[in-house]
Amino acid sequence: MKVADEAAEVEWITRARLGDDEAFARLVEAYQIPVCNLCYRLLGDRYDAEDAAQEVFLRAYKNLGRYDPERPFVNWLLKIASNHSIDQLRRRRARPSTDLREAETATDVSPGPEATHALEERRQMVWETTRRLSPKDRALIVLRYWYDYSYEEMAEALSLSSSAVRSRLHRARMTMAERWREKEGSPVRLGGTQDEPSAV
Amino acid sequence: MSHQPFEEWIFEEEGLPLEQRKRLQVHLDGCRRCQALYAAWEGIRSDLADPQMVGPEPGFAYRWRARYAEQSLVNARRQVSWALGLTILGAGVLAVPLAMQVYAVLEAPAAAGGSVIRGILSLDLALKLSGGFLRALLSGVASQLVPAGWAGIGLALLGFTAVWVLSLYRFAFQPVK
Repeated sequence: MKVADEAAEVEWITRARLGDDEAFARLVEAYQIPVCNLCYRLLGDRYDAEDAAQEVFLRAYKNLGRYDPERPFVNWLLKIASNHSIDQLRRRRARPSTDLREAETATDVSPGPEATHALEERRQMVWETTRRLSPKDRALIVLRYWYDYSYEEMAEALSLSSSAVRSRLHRARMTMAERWREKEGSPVRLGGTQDEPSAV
Repeated sequence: MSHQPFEEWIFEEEGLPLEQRKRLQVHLDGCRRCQALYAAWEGIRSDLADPQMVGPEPGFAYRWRARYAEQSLVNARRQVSWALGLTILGAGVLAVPLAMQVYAVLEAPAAAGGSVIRGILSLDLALKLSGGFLRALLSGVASQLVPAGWAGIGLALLGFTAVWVLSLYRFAFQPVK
């Protein structure tokens, strides 16, 4: 994912490293949408997401010296955003989640007035299936399907091994498919057949 | 009936080879459970690919600047508070014996004067003694110590000085983020 012009980005980073606040503010402007979107997809609440995104940029500025210029800047930001959002999710585990649907309709550019109730319902179902995953599994799903991250990128972002990413993603997909099925019709009994005990 | 490796293949995204696809199809035709799993995953996957990027409300960068300025101010205040607190603590530690001396002078000026003179004399004596001791120690050590040892001691002293200066600089002068 590339949002800002590469030369400009390098210049902003260099200047920000020297303490130029305005240069970092340009980076904030350039990357606010991917960072905020990731926080939103993980936290499910628009205001929490904005707050988290603000905190992510503060942390990024504070730790800019640790950024490796050989790697994409946006990936570094998204790594901070993922970890911060996962921490937030763990802290508020007991707190009931807010309705994503209301926020999406209030903020999204598309799909416009013709966006049907059915579409919103399906979005809500997707949210319902992802929100019950563990914070890290949810982060994997979001990074994979919203950000097209490779297994290696996900492993790097969440400090996991590639094999752990694979097994966690597999488990997350199974869980989501099970819940999807529960919502749509008869449940799928994972790890066994409908007629017999687990043979797996 | 075993569902492996078909469960794995249902969630495989990299694309299955033709042979595996055929085997999966045969399994799906005969297994209602895997059929249901497959259908559920296909359904959710199409909805997961939601291209919408949910951005913040307009003015995000402006609000970030304000928050950053506010946090910098808080950090600066904290830094000043620490510096001030440590200075007051140090001054307090020094003030206690000073206050006791002042009190002693006010209580009995002659005795205090005598004790000051005695203190100066004993200090002078102590300095002379420690000077002699140090000279003897250094001349003893100097004859034993190789040049590399002197270099090590010099570097260690230089290192301590550098750490001290750097700490002072970071504590008092470095801008707060």
